Order: sequence, then C-alpha cells, then structure tokens
Amino acid sequence: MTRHYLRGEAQARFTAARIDAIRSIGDLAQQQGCEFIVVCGDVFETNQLSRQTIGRALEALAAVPVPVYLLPGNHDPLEPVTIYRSPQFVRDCPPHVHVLTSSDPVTVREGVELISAPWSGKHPDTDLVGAAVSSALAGPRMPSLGQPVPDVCAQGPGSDLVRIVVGHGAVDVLDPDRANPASIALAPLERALADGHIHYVALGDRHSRTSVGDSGAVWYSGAPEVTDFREHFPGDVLVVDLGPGAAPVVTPHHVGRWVYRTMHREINNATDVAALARDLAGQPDKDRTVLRLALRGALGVADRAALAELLEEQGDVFACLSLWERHTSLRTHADGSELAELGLGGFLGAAAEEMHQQAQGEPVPAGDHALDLAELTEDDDPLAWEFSAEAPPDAQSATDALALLYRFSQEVTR
Amino acid sequence: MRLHSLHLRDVKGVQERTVDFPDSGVVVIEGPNEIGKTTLLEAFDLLLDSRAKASSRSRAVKALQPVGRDVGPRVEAEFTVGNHRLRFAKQWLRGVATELDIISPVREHVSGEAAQQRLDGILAESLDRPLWDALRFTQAGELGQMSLTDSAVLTRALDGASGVDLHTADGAPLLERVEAEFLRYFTPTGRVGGELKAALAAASAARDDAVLAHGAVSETQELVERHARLRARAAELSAREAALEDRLERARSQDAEVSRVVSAHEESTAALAQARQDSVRAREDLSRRERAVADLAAVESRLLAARESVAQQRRELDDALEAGESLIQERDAAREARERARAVAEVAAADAEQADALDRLARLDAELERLADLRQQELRLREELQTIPAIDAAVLRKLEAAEGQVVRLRARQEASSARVTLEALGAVRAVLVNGEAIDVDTTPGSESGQVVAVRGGLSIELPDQLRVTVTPEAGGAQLAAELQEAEASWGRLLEQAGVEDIAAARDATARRSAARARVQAVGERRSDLLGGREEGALLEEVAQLRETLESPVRTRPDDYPVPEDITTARAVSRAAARARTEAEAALEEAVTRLRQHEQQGERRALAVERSQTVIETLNERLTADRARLIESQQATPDDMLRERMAAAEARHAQVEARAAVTGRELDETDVAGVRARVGEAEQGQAEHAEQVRSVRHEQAQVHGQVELVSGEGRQETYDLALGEFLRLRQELEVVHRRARAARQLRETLGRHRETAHRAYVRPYREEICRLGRLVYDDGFDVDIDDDLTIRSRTLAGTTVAFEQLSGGAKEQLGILARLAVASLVDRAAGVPVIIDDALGYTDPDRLDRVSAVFTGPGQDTQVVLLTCTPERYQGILGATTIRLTA
Repeated sequence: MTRHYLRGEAQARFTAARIDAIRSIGDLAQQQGCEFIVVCGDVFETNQLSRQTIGRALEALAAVPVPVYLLPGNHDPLEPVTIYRSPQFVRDCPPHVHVLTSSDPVTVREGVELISAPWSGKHPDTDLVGAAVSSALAGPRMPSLGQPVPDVCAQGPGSDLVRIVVGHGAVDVLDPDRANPASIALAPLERALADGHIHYVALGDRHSRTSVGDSGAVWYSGAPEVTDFREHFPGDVLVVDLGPGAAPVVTPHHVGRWVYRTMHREINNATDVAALARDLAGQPDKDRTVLRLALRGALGVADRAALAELLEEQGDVFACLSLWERHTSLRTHADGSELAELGLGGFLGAAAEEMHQQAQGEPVPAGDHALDLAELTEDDDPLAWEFSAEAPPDAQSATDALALLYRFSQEVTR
Repeated sequence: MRLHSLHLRDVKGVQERTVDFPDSGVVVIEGPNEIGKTTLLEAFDLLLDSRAKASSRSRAVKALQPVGRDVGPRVEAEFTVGNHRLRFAKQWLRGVATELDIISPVREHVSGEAAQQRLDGILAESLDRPLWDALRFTQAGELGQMSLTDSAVLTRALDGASGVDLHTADGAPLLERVEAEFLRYFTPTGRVGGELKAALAAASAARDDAVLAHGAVSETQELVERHARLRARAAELSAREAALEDRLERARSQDAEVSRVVSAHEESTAALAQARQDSVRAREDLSRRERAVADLAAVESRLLAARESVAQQRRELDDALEAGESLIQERDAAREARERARAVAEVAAADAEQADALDRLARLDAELERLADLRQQELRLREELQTIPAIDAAVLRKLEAAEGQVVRLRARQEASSARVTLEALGAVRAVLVNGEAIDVDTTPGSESGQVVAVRGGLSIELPDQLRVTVTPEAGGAQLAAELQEAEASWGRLLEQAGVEDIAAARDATARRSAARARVQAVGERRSDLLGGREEGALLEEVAQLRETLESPVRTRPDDYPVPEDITTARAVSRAAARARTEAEAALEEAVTRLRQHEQQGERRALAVERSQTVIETLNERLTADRARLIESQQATPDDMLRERMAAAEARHAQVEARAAVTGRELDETDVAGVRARVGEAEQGQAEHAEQVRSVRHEQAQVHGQVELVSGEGRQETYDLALGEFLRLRQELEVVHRRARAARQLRETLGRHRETAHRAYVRPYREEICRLGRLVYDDGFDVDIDDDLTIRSRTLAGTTVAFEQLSGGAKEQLGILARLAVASLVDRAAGVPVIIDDALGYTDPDRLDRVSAVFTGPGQDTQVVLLTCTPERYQGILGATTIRLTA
C-alpha cells in the first residue's frame, strides 16, 4: 500500500527508496560474500502492479550480483493473476533470479537445498511450511500432505546436505488468531531443526525483525525499508552463516534509509513550544523522516498561533509531519491575557471574549473532525465518506477563530 | 470648540468687521444678502486650514482678496479648543503673517510657520474634524445625511449615553481582513466557495477515481475467485467420470442380451409370415386354375347367345328397309299436291288485284272532273273582281280625311271672313264680284247677293267704271290659300281612286270585299276535295292504273273462270292461299316421317355390325384361353397343385409353434427397462461431457480475462488513487478547519458589531425624537440606521423613507439631527452648530416650533444661525442677535 500521508515528491522518493533497498541488499551480499539471497514472500505488494513498478524492481534485481530466490507470499501469491507468470516478468526476469513456485526442494548448489512453501492463493487452509517440510523430508516416494514430520528420513543427520526452509505467514506462537489453520506450527520445525533435518527457517510476513522461538534458527528478517510506525527494527536484512552441524550465525544489517518516529510532548507554554521547535530542528534526515507528534497540554492563543506556525514551517521540511490526533489534546488557556495585550476594545473585545469562552470547552475528540490517516484500519471503508460544510461552531473552531483574530489584530496594529 | 470672536479685514467685500460671540446660547447673525455672512465662515475655515498657510497662493486664498484691491486679507479669531484658549491670526498675499497667542492654560506666543504647526498640533489633538464638518448646515449644501460614525467625540458621547463600551476605532480594517479571509472559503452569501469549494471538488473527484479503481480491483478479485471455483468444479467433474462410464458399460452389456432375445423373436416372426404367405399362395394357385376352367365355359355360352341375338337383329333390319319404300311414295304425292295449290293461288291473287284497280280508277276519274269544275268557277270570280275600282280601307280613310279638311276650312273662312255689303244705291247694278257678275239689289236690308264675303280676296268691279279690290288681312289670305290647297288635294285623291265622290268610293269598297270572299270559298272547296294530295299525283296514279289494267293477263287454267266481281275474286284468292298452306304442311310431314325412318334403319345396321365384332372378339379370346389352359395343365396338372397346398399348410403350423416359444421368451424380458437404462446412462455421459466442455470453455474465458487484467496493475492504481483521495481529504479537512474559523470569526464579530451599533443608535434616536416632538407632536418618530443615518420618518402613523421626504422635511430633520448631536456631545469637546441660512424651505407655521428647539441645546452649546431674514428666528428665546451692516 502506498503511504498516502506522503505528499507528491515525498511519495516518489519513498517508492524509489524501496527499489534502492534491493540494490543495497545486493551490495551487502557482495560485500559479505553471500552465496545467494532468499526473499520470503511479499516481494511485491500486490499481484496487480503497474508495468513501471515491476520493471523497476526487475531492473534493480538484475543488478544484484548473486542468485536470488523469490517466494510468493500472501501479497503476491501464485493465483491466476500472479506477477510471476505475467508476460512482462517472464520476459524480463534476469537469469539469476528464481521464483520458488512449488514445494519441491530446490538445489541451490551441491549440498544446499531450499524447501519452499509458496502461496498459491490469499487464503490457504493449511500450514504450507509444515506440509512442504513433511513432503521434502519424506522424499518423493511418499507424499503425504499435512502429516507431521516422519521420524524416518531419506537423508538423516550426519549428511552434509544443508536444508533451508523458506516460508511465509504467521507462526502459531505469534499469531493472535489461534484458529488460523494456515498458521505455521513452530514445534515440528524446532524438532526438525533439533534433529538436524533442517538447518534454518527463513520467514517473511512480519515487517519487524523477529527471532522466533529459542532455537536461534527461525527468523523473520523484517521489511528492508520501514513502512509503518508500529514496526520494530525495520529496515534490516539478515546475513546468515550456515554450515552442516553448526548453529546458524545471524547478523542483522541495516539497509533501510527512512525513519518513522513518534514524539510525545507536554506543551503548556511558550517555552515548551520553543523546546519542541529545537527538537524538530535537531532531527536528522528530515526529508526521509515521517514524524508524528502526540501533544498534550493547554496553550494561550499566542502560543497556539506560534505552534501552528512552527508545524507549518517544519511540515514543509519533513517528509511528513503530522499530529497524532488520537494522542493529541491541546486546550486553550483560560485567562486570555494575550487578547488583553492586543487591547481589543469595543465590540472586538466582546466578540473575542465570546469565542474565548467557547474555546474553553472540551477538546474535540480526534477522529470526529480530523481523520487520523496514519491509523486507518482495514475494516474502515475509506471510500465511504460524507463531507458537510455545515458543522456548527465548537471549541476547535472557536480556538482557530481566536488565533485568526489574534493574527489579524497584530497585522492591523503593525 | 467654542468661538469667542472673529475679526476680518480686507476679506472679499468686507473691509473691516469684528463679531463677538457669547459663550453659549443661540447667536443669530443677520444681515442682507451679500453683506458677508457666509464669508465669515469661509474665512474662519481657511484660518484653521493647515494647507492654507499664510504663504499660500492657492485659489481658495486668492478668492479672499477683495476685488480690484491689492491688499492682504487678514483673519483673526479667538476660540477655545480642548483646554486651550487661543487667538490666531493669518494674513495672506500681502504682508504675510501668522500669529498665535495661547492665552491659557499657559501663555505663549508663536509666529510664522511655527505658529501654524503649533495650531495644527492643537487641533489634531482636540478638534473632532468629522464632527466639525457634520454640524455645519448650509442651505446651499446638500440636504442629505451627515457622516457621523467617524466622529470620536460623538462616539464617546454615544458610548456614554448608551452605557456600553462597544465601539472601536480599529474595527474597520480588521473587519476587512476578516471579510477577505471569509471570502477565501465562502461566497458572499455564505455558500461554499473559493478554496473550500476547490478542495471539496478535488477530494470528491479523487474519491470518484478511487471508487472507480476499487471497482476494477473487485472485478479482478471476482475473476480470481471464479477461476478457483471453476477449477474445483472441473476436479469434481473428472472425479465423477469413472462412475458414469461404469454405469454405461453395465447397461450396454444388459442391452446386448436383450437384443439377442429380441432378434430371435423377430426371426421366428419373419419365418411365420413367410410360411403363411407360402400357404396362401398355394391355395391361390389352385383356386386360379379352377376359376380358369369355369371362365372358359362361361365364355362359350356367352358366344352362343350373341350369335342368336345378331340373327334376330338382321331380320328386323330387313323389315325396316321395306317400310321405307312406301314412305318415299307418300312424300312425292304430297309434293305434287303442293305445286298445284301454288298455281291456283297465284291466279286467284292476280284476279283480285285486277278488280281492285278497276274500282280505284273509276273513283279517281270522278274526283278529277269535280276539280276542273271548281277551277272554272274561280276564274270567273277573279275576272269580276278586276272590274271593281281598287279602293281599300286605307284609301277610303284618306278620302274621308281630305273631305273633312275642306269642310272644316270652308266653315272657318265663312265664320271669320270680312264681309262686304253691296248696296245698290239707286238701281240695280251689275257688279263683277271676283269676275262673277252679281246684281246688286236696291232694296236695303235684303241680304241675298248683297253681302259678299271677302274670303281670299275680293274684286268688285263696276265694269268699266270701277274695280274695288279687297285684299284680306294676312290670316284671311292664308286661310284662303289653305282652303284652296285642301280642295286641290281632295280633288286629286278622288281622281286617283277613280270615283266621283266619297259615296262611290264606299260602294266600291263593299263590293270588292264580297267578291274576294267568294273567290276564297271556291279555293277552300277545291283543297277539301284534294285532301292534301297534289292534282298531278292523282293524274299519275290514274296513268298507272290504266297501265296495270292494260298489262297482259297471265296464263290461267282453262277450267278456272274469271270471277264475277271483286268480292268473289277476293274470296277465291283467300281460299286458294289456304289450300296452298295446307299442301305445304302435308309435304313437310311426309319428308320428316321418311327421314326418321331412315335414321332408325341406320341405327339398326350399326347395332348388327357391333354385335358381329363382339362375336369375333369372344371367339378369339375363347381360342386363346383354351390354349393357355391346356398349356398350364400340361405344365402343372391340377393334382400337383392340390398337393402343394397341403404341404404349405403343414409347414405353417410348424413355424407358428416356434414363434409362440420365442414370443413367450420376449415377454419375460424387460426390454423397455434395459433400453431406458442405456439411454439414461448415455444421456448422463453426454451431459457430463457437456458440463466438462462448458467448464473448460469458461476456464479458457476466465483465463483470457485474467491475462488481460494481470498486466493492468489495478491494485497499484487503486492504491495510488486511494492515497490521493486520502491526502486530498486531509487537505480538505485542513482547509475546512480554516474556513470554519474564518466563518465563526466573521459571524461573531459581525454580530457584536451589530449589537454595538444598535446600542449607539438608541440614544441618538431618543434625542432626535425628543427634539422632533417639540416641533411636531407625540406621533413623531425616526428610524436610525447603524451608521447613524436617518432611514425614515414617521408622522401621524405614516412612515416615509428619508429620500422621499420633501425638501423642507429633510431640512428640518437635518437641523434636528445636528442639534441632537450637539446636545449629546460634551461641552468641552463639542463644536458649534452652524446653520447657514437654513429654514428657507420651512413653512411659516413650522418656524415657531422649529425655533423652540434651538432654545434647548443652545444653553450648553454654541448655536450660530446665519440669516438674511431675521423673522425666521424671532421665536428663539434668549438668542443674541448680531446685525451686520455694510
């Protein structure tokens, strides 16, 4: 999904950064002496991408100096409209890029085998990884889908063959949906790891870098470029050193260049505003930073105006600067001394006083007027939208009106 | 401001004038026109005007200079403004000078440019210019409304009077900005517009795009699901295939067994039919042979009968031919008889014609004789007519008229002519009167011969002695001439008619008409006799008849005498004709009978011939049949045929028994059931194949669509569209938030401003009403606008808009408004109310009452009234009057 809160050029830069991540990964692989790269699903955000996007991704992949194995995940499954069988992909796919289209083991080189569990639809009804592993370990003579890993194996421990499982989806121990039939069962994998049948489980789906279980050999590498505030350790790739009989050595490397950050602040006076201004100014790489502010407190009219000005100014510098409405609550001061400073006489004073009283009301709950766009959930239908210009005055509009009055008065006085 | 004294020197028409004003109350400055009342005010204005410095040579300044005098106009005034009391003087153009003496609070003297600056400073600080301008009322100026809202002094006064502190001097520019801000987002009438509208339109458009893109994604989703469904369906179908094939196999093997039973039965049934056919054929062969023998005998007997019949027919034919001879004879006899009858009839007819001709000739001769007689008679009568004079009625009338004229003229001459009486005096004397000798009597008094009428002239002659010629008068002479003419005419007419006199003429006329009537009678009789015929035609007919009679008589039989008379001839002729007709009929009948007889004979001969042919045919057939029968009997004797029949019947019975066996077998088999099962199985198979085909077809279709869609990048398009929409939506929220702020600010400020204005308006209106009621009555009221202009006036229940008021009423309201303002503002900050020659419009009745209102404010404020008609302000109590003289 595109990051809609990013405006025009920021959006384009972010998209470019995600393509750049592929090149960075390639560079890293060369630098680290990696033999090959596996991408565990969701290579593409959807199967219905524009030719331009696919073309750019393939172009970047072509520049990667080692073989690359792509696993279809839940975003890009091997469904009828799959990208992997599209004429463009088939035509332009570089020879060293391979798509893992079946659960048959793939030999990367003598002694290295990939057991992959590609998705063939968005809603599998079984543990694909478990099935693939069972099938691979049982050998081609005894295919039995969905059965636990048999004890007798075609190639037992002691063999020099290194088996890497490449899977996608939620692992049952991390999946909040207990009833999900497609959850990847961790226990059999750990048994197989312990028994030396398999040596590493590379997983995709989670954007946060995560080691699953205690084996140290089951990992989600996380997204190579951050995509959301909620992600932990995003922007990393894992370099895995693997050999028969040895525990895997997993080293994270940061390739992502963008940052998503949330700042919580108490703002109650001009000093706080100035401090916030300093903090914002001190942020590095602003043009690649998506920053959201959770502000709480009560401000006078003048400070409010100053804050608004600050946010507007900095908003132009950051890739994105927004108020986290759900966690932002700013009241307007009760004493209204700034208004007195302006010396508004006559009816202006009376009008200012009226609006000031209204601005004292409860702060408007977030989501009522302002939409917290960064927090749209999947259940919301963003297209079901009604706009009305007839909203009656409330604390919010009174506050804004006061700020406007403040600004104009200053301009007139000047 | 308060004016204490004003001094002018060499200003316009004023050489030197000083006016002192009392500190308060009404000052009436009166004087005739052109005395310089208005000049006082203009001079004072220019004195205070910072632009009209002493060094100025502006047009306004030059206008102060008296006409034709090169002197420097000087104006000096002493007045109090704010807390300053000061004296200020300026002299322009000549002897330029500026002098300022501040009298209190601190004495100070300044001159020159600095004096002007000092004064400007004091005025800027303490003089309310708008008020100063507003409270001057000149008759020559506009009768319109004063501009009061800009006056700080009045505003303070109104604030004070209204008890609220609502006004602000900064309001206007601020409100302008607010309005401008509001108009960024809304139309002047408050509808969505400007940036808000643009943002809303952009968001809506983006939403529509996203909805469209979402539709495309959903479509793809559906396609993928359909693809999956089809695959499941295909798998299901192929799973069912084996069962269906098995079922068909079983049904088919059952069907083979059933088919065997059925075909066995069909065979035996066919054999039975063959046996039955053989048997029937053998029986037929035998019966055909028997029928052939019988047929032969029948033909023989028919031939015999035919021969007998033809012999009989021949006999009858011969008889008929004999009978024909006698009929021919009868016909010939009848033909002879008819010829005779014809000859007799012709003779008789000729006789009858002859007799008719004789008779007719006799009658015509008699008629011609009578006609000749009548012609003779007519000739005679015409000769007689010639002897009578030809006088007809017209000639007679002319004669009578001419005679009448002569008689009338004579009578007139006789009556009118002068008379000459001849008397012989003495002896009788022969006198020639008109050449006619008359003897004149001697006896006097005897009339005869002595009196002579003069008539046409008279000549009396005593022969040889004397001749007296009397010439009548002109009328007499003419009458005599006319008479002579008439007599001559009459004589001519008689002569022409050939009669002596009128009586003879009448007689001739009568005789002539009688003779003519007789001629006519004879003519009529002749034409009666002819009866329309021409006499020539009669003669011709006679000639013809004679010719007829003389023509030669045709041959007649000797024994046939000529008939005696015409009647007999005619009777004989009729009888002969009848006889001829009868003979002709008899002949015809005989001919007809003969022909009928001949036809009958021919028919009989034909019948005989036909019978003969039949006999021959029968004979031939009989010969042939007999030969054939013999031949076939030789080939297959009769006995053999009988044996064959017996054998065929035996075989039939045998086959029948076998067919019964297979029939039972068939009955015991469920043929229909087995066949139906086969049909069902086959149909099931076909349906299955059809389903497979349709699923494959649909799969191919979906596959095609999938291929089509997969390159379109629909999800990405949707994501981009949705992102754009959400962004624009957020932008809209931001703009909307700003718009709401602007709207609320505008609304709130506007409302409060309205309230403030309403608050100022109240005391102002109350003061105007108070003053107004002094002039008018309790019904007086005004409606004041927010900008303190008078909107309308109400009097005696009638409300009239200000603009529609009369000039006088406007003037009155103008003065009332100024006085109201004057009484509202405080004494120190206020300015004089100056009214220049007003109330010119006002009717005299009102004047007294208007004057009354000056009294009130005048106690606190300076009120200066300039007028050339002092009577106008006579009603003002306690007024100071200053009279200006030249």
